[in-house]
Amino acid sequence: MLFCLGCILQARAQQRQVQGLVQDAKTHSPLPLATIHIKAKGIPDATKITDSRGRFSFNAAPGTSLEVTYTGYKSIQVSINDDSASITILMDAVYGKLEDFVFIGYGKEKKPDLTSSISSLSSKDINELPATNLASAIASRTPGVEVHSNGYAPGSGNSVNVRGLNSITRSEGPLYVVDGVAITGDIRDLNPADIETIDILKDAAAAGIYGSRAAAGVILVTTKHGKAGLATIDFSMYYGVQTPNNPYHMLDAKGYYDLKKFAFNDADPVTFAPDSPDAKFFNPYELKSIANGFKTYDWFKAVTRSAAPMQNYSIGISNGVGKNKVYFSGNYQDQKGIMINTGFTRYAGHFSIESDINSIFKLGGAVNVDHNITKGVSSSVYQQALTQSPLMPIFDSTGAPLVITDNSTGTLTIRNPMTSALYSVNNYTANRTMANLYMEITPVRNLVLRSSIGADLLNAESDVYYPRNTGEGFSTNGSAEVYNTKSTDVLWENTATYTWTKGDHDLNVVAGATYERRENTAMDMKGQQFPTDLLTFKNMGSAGIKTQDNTNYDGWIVQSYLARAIYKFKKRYIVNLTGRRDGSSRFGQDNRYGFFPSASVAWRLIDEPFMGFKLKSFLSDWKIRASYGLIGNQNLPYDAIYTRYNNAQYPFNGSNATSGYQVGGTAGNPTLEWERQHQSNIGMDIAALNNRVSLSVDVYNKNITSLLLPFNLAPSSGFYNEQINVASMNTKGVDINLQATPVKTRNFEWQMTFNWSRYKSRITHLLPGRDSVSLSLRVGQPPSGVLVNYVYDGLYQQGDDFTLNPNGKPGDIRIKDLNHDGKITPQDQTIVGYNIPGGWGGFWNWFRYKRVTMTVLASYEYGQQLNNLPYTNLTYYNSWFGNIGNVTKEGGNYWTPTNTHTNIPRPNAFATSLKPLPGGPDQGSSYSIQKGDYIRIKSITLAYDIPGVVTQKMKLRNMNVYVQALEPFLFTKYKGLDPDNGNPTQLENYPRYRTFLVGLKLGL
Amino acid sequence: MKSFHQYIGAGLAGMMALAGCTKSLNYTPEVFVAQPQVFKDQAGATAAVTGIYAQLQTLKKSDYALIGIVGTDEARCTYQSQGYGDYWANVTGLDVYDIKFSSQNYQLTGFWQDCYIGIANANAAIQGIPNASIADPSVSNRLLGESKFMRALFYFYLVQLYGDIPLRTEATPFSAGVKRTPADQVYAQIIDDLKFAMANLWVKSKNPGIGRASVEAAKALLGKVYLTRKDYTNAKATFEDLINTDGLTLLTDYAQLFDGQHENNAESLFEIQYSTDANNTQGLQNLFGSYAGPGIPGEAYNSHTPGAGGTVVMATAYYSDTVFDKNNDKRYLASIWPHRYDGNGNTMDWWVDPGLPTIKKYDISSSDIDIYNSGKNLYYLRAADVYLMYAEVLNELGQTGAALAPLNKVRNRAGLQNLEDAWGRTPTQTELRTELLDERMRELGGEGWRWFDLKRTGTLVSRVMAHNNPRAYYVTINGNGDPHPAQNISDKNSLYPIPLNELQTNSALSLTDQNPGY
Repeated sequence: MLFCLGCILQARAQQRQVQGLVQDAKTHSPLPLATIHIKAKGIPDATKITDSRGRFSFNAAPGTSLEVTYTGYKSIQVSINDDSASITILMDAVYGKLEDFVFIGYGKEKKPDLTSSISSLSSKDINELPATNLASAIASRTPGVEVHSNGYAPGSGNSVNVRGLNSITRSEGPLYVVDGVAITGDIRDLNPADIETIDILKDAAAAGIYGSRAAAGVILVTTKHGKAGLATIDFSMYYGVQTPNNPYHMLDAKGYYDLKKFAFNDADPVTFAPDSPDAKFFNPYELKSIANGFKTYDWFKAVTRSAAPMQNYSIGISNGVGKNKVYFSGNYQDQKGIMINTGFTRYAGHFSIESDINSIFKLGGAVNVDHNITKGVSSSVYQQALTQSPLMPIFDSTGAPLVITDNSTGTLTIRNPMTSALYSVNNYTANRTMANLYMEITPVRNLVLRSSIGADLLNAESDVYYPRNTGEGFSTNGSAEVYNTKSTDVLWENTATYTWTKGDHDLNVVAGATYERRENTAMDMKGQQFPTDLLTFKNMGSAGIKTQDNTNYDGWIVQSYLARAIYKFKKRYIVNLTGRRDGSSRFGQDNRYGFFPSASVAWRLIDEPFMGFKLKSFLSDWKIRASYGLIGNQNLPYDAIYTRYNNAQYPFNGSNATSGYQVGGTAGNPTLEWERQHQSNIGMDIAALNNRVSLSVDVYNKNITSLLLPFNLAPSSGFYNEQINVASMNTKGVDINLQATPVKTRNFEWQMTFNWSRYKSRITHLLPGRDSVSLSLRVGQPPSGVLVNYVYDGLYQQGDDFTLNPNGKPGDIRIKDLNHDGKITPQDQTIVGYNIPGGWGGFWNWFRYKRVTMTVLASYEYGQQLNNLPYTNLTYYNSWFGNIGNVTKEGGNYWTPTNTHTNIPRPNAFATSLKPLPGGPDQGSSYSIQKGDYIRIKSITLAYDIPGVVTQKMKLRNMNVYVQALEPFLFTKYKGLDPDNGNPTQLENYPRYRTFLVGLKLGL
Repeated sequence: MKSFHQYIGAGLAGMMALAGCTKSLNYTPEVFVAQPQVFKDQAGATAAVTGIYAQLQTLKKSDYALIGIVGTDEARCTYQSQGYGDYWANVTGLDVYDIKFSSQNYQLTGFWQDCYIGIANANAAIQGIPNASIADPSVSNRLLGESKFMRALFYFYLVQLYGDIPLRTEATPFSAGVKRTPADQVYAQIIDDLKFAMANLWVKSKNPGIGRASVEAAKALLGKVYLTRKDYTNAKATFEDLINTDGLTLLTDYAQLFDGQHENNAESLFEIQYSTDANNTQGLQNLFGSYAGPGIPGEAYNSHTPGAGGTVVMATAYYSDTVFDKNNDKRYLASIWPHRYDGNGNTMDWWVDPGLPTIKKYDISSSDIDIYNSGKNLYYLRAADVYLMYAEVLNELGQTGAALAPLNKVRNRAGLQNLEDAWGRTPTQTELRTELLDERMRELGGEGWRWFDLKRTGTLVSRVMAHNNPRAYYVTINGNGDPHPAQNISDKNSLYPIPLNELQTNSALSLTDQNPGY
């Protein structure tokens, strides 16, 4: 098609037909309706426009120069030569690939010009693993960010730590900002497939623009937006299977039989003489199994699926024609859990639009909608399945889980975790909408005024029901809870940005004001005594007793002013000054406002003229940065400044309750203020061999003061404590990131990224006049993660001295008497380990052979000790996990008078004598402390890029198929639990699993 | 150009608006009231006083209530209780005064804490009520009177148990360190508070407010305080005022006091109220009941059976076997389960401790949920107690003959004849002292006053060693392997140790401020 507007053919020059294509230089996507100015000597200028496929065709003489312009792209000049038959004009987007720019909070900056410590992850990095949760997606990908999972159950969250420990009592993780809207709380309702980049602001200068919320780091999330160019459609899907990877191997029926008989006999040799009939120890069902040749029932298998499927379908459509850029995406994800009746389902949609209304106005917005449902299970199911007697049959003759009720009392005498797994309800449903709308006005060149409104709306409900045949619900004839939470967060921001360039000087100034208001409401209802289990929790009105009927309303307001100036001289000396003044309603009248300034500088050595030619041909980048700033933490409980009266009731006449108020608990402290963090950071970015190797090193030091500590008040005051700003601590650390392409040939390529981080946190000051609050909280030690316990000193043998444990018997645990006072008291506890890693990080390797790529992502951590109490509990018979008590095979090596060379104490039949012992199962001792070092292969992916010949035939832009294995290997000496568990003293409530999946990505 | 200026103007104006608009950062809490708001009006003041009563309910709803009952000659812990875990070993420590009876004992620390929470609430009310806008001054005085009564009640517990204690009044800021005030000063404050209460509370027999502190209760408590101070003259005057002006009634059937169907009866002067609502229950039967069989042969035995429980506390041999005239004293079967029966109807006395007699007064009734959740009230003061105190006062003043009259009232109600008739003569002052102590055990056994009675009469160590020392008895039968813990009471135990966390966190106290011997 030929659009020929006002074209005048001049006879003078030799005109010939010129045709070609205008494309985006990076994506090769054709640019429709691009403007071509034709300038030739002696003839008036003409203008042509490319068609909807970016093609053009017109007559022009050689030597004519063409200037092509397109919104959002750098104008380009092209000359028509004699022999150019068909011209392809490649245009560079003004903002380049989004990854070339880094979001720095209220603005963007080119990576080479950064003065502070910011790590970036691209969409490709984030979506390499099929994570349901953003935090899992960034784990081990960048230095300085520590991510621990809260469990394996589908839909579980994570705990994230940026640059070590930032508080003693108030660590709520970093601040997440999604498209400029600060969202507080959970990031798990954002679909990782909709994310374009993540920028993690780590040091004070980078995060300081967020002032009082920045102390734990800021994670900027930018969602996908439409790209200039013709519509593109990207579709991806995967289907996978999860298989259980159970680290606990329990005793079989015979081993359990021997154990129980030995234990009861050892505890009470009179009642349970060695020749007593089995009927004294076991119930009729177990006796049947014994008679059947010690038939072993596999409870773990009964509560798990051997192959649990998961699938995900995602589609993204981008259309950027002319002045509007639009992006849609939709996602469906369904993961069935390894435990029966669990799973996670998500429906998500994302829409964003950017519109250049005219040269002055720009309007844009994005909406992200997420509806997800997590089906969970009571934590006791996994625990009980592990410890059930292997002699007990799982199902009765009708195929239903075996449950025995005592008809006269209604009590369950035989409890079966299968009932809870099959019949209980434990759902969490969340509806999250994140939206923002902005308007930019450019009244004069170089001045941009921006106003935006953003909202984060979360409506979640948690429903629980335990029917009367489950362990949790039998005594109350059914037990239900409905817990409904809503939170609304609205943010209004106004900024003005001015840029000024003259000669060697470059100045960018931002000033703004923001207002944020958060409101949370909650409703909680709990009931018992239901007439039937059929309706589960849905009819709370039918509950015989309401044990709770509660509402909660709270919120806070933050109001701020911010300003930043970035000055670049000769493009190689860069200075960045930031200041923010925040006011928060969480603090008392006199301490509402705080000012948070920071400064950073960068020196691009690589651009210095003194960099000799030789050096420059070797080094491709060299920059040194330094920064210093003050940021704050406002995360204290919103009511800490008030002395709260709590609800109380009293039935004056013995029956009807009169409600009243009672004071007590935490006393309010109206003088509370921010926790303050002074952080300095020195960093260097260096790259060599044309960016084939690049290294980024950051060293930081944080002094954190005014830390909130609950200051214990004298019990005679009537209060337990009040929060005061009193303590201080120091964290120092190093982050290193190394990227390299060791091999690059036409057919084979190897890229790798390696990151390593380490930090050291110490308390420097506690309460006035006191250097320690407890053994685990004292000056000179880390604020958390200090493991304090008794010291294990082997087992008592026959004839040993029992002074330290007068009621003990041979085979009991012996604890060291550290202060030599002849008795075991809490004074005999000491520090037995630290839960702080000596270093951690990730290792990413990518190999390409022709069209086949293989990616291996590994993570590692070393130097930390963990209190492996759950594993110990599964090793001691009749410990915390109840009176059923099967143990692991290791626990089968228990102490007997003939088996004395062991670390496992004698089995304790009635759970009486071992439990209260210091060092017993409830408390643990240094016996349960284990090293948590590990190397984990998180994923191995094998992918194949379908060749262009084939894709073009199918009218596709690209197509990629892959197979992937997740969590295939874990190398560690830590027994049982996953050492990465964010909550190591509790048994996981969900078993580990491996996943194998196949996937497909295609672009239209 | 003009349009540009308009745009700039508009944009900057928007920002100015935001800047100038100092939206208040005062976010008023929406889901709770903070201290000054509570006392705005009468409803708030009444609600705050209700909270003081609620704290007394909290104090006595579980094992802290054992303070005053175990470690005496009427009740002891079973030998199994120390093996139930570290927490229960602490409870046993209250009974045998062993190594667990220290400044870190959970129960006595918790008791101290709970009493002081009650005192803090009372102080807040005493400070706030005068500022509340209450139209009728008699209402405001009555609420003040109730607060002062409750404060006196809590301080009375503390000063008897711990001796010199930090005296905090409405003027003391909560973060202040307060020294150990001499006991005399604390008593002076208690007496002051009770006198105000006496003058301003409702009269129980006439008032509509069941369950609230009353004039009679204040007089009874004041008399008890005077008696404890050995101020017999004032005690006599107070008791006579109470008996003559307001009148006391004894129920005809003793068992009705404890059947759970006669709460807030005519004999009761002040009860601690419980109900079967989820937050208002007490779980005491579980402590006093036994996991041996039922007390009635053939009865079903589960958590809904009166007498069932966890075998923590049981009656001493003295209380269950010796002190009662089992044939005639109607109180015996209302106070004690003498036997437990197994499935075949045979008694289980051979099953040492779980099979032996237990205290019956905390048994649940048919209106209770189960042994962990009972709505049964507990007595703090009742008329029989006043009569026996009056008798004690008269006896101490040398008027032994006159002391027999109130004593006989109590005896007659129990189905016993007058003391002088039973003995054939009038007892001497010393004999009557001992007899009154035993009579208090028969009448008020297990109700929480025993330890205080023994301390007041100076007989704590002697009577505990004589009657709460089962090991001495069982060792002769079972040998040294007998599991009963040894009784370790000594003179220092007439004062409880000050909790360690008080000494550590109260800036006016240090570890040297502990009671002697700890």
